[in-house]
Amino acid sequence: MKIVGKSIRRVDGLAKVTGQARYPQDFYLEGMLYAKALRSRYSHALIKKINVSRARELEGVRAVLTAQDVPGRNLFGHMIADQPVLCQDKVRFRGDAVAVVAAESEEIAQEALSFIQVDYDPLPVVSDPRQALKPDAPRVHEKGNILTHYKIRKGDVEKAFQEAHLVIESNYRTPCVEHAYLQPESGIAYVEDTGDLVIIVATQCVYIDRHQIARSLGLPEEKVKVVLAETGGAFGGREDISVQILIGLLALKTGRPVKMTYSREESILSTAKRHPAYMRYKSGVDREGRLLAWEAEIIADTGAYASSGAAVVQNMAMYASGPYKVDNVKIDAYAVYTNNTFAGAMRAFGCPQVTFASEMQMNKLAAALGMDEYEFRRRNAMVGKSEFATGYLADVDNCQIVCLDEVVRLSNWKEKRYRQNKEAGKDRFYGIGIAAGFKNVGYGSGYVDSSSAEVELMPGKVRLKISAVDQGQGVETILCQIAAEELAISMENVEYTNPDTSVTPNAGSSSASRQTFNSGNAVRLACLDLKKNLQQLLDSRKWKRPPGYPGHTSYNWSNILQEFLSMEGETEGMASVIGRATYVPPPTTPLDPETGEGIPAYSFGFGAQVAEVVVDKRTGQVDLKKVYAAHDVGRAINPLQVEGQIEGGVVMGQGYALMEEIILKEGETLTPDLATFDIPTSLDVCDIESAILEVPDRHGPYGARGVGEMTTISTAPAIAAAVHDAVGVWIDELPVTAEKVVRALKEKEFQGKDVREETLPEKTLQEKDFQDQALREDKGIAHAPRRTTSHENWVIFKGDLNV
Amino acid sequence: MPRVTQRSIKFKMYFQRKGSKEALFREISFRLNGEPVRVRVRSDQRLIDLLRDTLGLRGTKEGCGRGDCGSCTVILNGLAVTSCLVLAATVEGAEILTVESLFRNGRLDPLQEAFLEKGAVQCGYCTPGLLMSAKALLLENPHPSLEEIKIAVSGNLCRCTGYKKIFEAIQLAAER
Repeated sequence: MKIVGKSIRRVDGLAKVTGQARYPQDFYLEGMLYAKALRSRYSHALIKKINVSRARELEGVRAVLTAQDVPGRNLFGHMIADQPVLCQDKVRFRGDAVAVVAAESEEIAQEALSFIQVDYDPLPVVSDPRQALKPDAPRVHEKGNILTHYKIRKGDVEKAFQEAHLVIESNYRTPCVEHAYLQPESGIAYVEDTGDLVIIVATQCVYIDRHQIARSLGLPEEKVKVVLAETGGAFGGREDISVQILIGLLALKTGRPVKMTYSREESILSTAKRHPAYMRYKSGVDREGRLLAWEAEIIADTGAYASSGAAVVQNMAMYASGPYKVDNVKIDAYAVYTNNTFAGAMRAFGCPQVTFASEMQMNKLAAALGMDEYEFRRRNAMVGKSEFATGYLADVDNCQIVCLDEVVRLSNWKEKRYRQNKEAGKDRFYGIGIAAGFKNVGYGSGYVDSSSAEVELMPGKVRLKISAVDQGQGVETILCQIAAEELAISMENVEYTNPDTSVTPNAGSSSASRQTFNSGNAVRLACLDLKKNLQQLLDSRKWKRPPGYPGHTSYNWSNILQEFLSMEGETEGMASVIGRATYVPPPTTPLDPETGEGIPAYSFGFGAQVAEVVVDKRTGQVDLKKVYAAHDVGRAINPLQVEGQIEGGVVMGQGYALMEEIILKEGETLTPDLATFDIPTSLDVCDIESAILEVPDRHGPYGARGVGEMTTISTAPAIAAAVHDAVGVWIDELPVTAEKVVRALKEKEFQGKDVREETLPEKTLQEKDFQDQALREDKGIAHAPRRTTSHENWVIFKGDLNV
Repeated sequence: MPRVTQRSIKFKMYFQRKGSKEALFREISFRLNGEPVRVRVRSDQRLIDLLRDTLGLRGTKEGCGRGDCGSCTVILNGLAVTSCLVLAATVEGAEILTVESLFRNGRLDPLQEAFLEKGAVQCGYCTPGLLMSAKALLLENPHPSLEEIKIAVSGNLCRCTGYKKIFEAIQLAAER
């Protein structure tokens, strides 16, 4: 292969380094107005009255709109539409928009907001999902606070726990975090002479946006054009509607172009977050270290609106037991409404939360068994034809093992793990930890997952039309590489058309690590179609040969293609030759509501990471020294970009592990900016060594799998394991801050033990355990004394999940 | 240390209320990307707004408006500063370089070339600011160590790349 597999420079790179790339902020249209939204003053309240007349009178104000001005359905939502465009009678979180203003300048629009009078009747706030589950909790929505409850039932966990040699039960908590892409939400809307509404915006899918915009504005979809601007990062956060409907509404009302740009505070306050999750995990192994049973109860805070929360929590359920063979699984996953900022998609869609918990369990089990963490994982990893927790039987090859082996080799695990002297200075201790993880490629679970592409032959170039959004991950370059490879032409001859619902066909969203896989296949198929059509053109002899061209018997599509590409300008007799294709991936199914049976996905991406830390025992400070990451991507179409995904994913995982948390108090965001919500800076990051592995996928283009999300899921548990290796405490709540480490060490100290002596906190055997043991002895089952290790007495998060 | 974050400059946006007095204007001149500029600025206008709205140089990006993210970094008299925290009226007589200054006569700056070659660009929104922080560093210290590079770009947040390729790109540009 000439182009696929090469680290080719980004096709959009030149525009980006020269400052010429146009993000929505960079569009300035003549006569444009500026929009600002009035956000709710309460986390939960009834709206009694809205008075906008004073704001309307302000000089320079062109429109002030409220719920009654929304012509279509006053609801939107990525998967379930339950979020009002403008709230009419009730607000459910602080980011709810109540009114929207368009004015001649941003300052006037901002000023006008203070002239809008809203009378609220505050309601009791529910901000903890565990509280929200109680029957007497305040109701966020009429239908109740449980958005979904997914169940997975496989085998008999109770029996398996009885038979287990060792059972570990722990509670985990992961925080609410923000995508924090650098480009705040922005868009510009205008009405064309034809009456069509044009929305230029940074998004993850122009078609899903168009559908929601048209529904809320009461327009047929063909009257709305969504045009992609350069997208400054997304990570799932742009799957939801932000400015789109509001600017469309104002452009229709005023007849002038309307631009709206969120401030960073508004972006953090009003857009989707990653679900915070409370998780109770219980896992049992036999004496040889084989996983017998896996039980998990997951309560995820989906905030005020559904967004894609139901699907995120479904993913949590499906991947809660990790990439391991387990015969007995019982999972209950709840998505619960609260008055917090709504949660939706964020890089790895539910997997970072459950992978943290399941990998912590794996590390604790290994420690309790006295087994090497790597060996323990290897023993339990899914290999070849394996049955998932959902009963789905699939061939996963040896991807997980390959990743584990590589990361262990790369990091020199076997030597470092058993290093005798772990001191790294005064009060400072070295630690190393490992974690694995896998995730689906593509939406799966029965969702429509197709992608369409069009390849058009033009004089001098091949134009690639597909609505695949490049949010920075580089899909534009990947698809151009695939087209160039398939048509055996050079990259310069491929032109990528900017996604625009009136021009480019639907490719689905840039999420679920699916674009290289699905759109890559669509482009391949479209190129095949183009070649076929070219050959037909030749066979039908309709194509006029240029003068002096040799006899047509030697013609094939490749000759013609080269001929086309060498032409300049318009050429006579060139009926445009187009290749079109839609790629439909192998079918998946929704999960059975009672048992969770079903086909979760058609492809998976695997990875394993090792983290090295130095922990200061006195201050609790965790210094991440190095991360080794091995990821199976099936086929690296552009290795440089794969590395970029690995490094970016690891650093995002580092932030999740050590720094990031959106703190909400009674629904109010206490960390509304990048000074209080800390993401890793150049001084925080460590060295990253990545290994790209290629176990080809059966369906992916050239064997490629997805990579974007898998790289971020195993970092946090690897770091937490390294912290344990260094100072002997498990921190079950992310982020692993210095305070939590110090607290855990103090609690340990009070128990009168030297933390360096014990790798695991010992809990005295409970009466129940003796009974079990006695029972077994009665039955004549020989068992070593069974240990139930629980960490509840010293983890930070305490108590029953159903508080 | 080459970078100065002008957190000390207190900045507040004053709204022009209906009926209130006209905002104050002032005519200033300075050098922008090597060219002399004479322009009327509003007393409450930020440098980033002057560059983007008035002068049409939209390569400089705004990511937070309060000096946290560094996307709006420009070089002001040889120092990398966040232009969202600088009042336009204060740059009288100054020498300002924006990302547009790096691409001249169809030739990329070695830094831009290195960013592309090393894959240091993903979504690209932080890129102009990073390039300017790196440029300010290399202007003062042509052979920086890795540690010096990390410090120089510590005011520039990037969410996509994980920074590693950015460090490599700056090192590569310095070598050239």
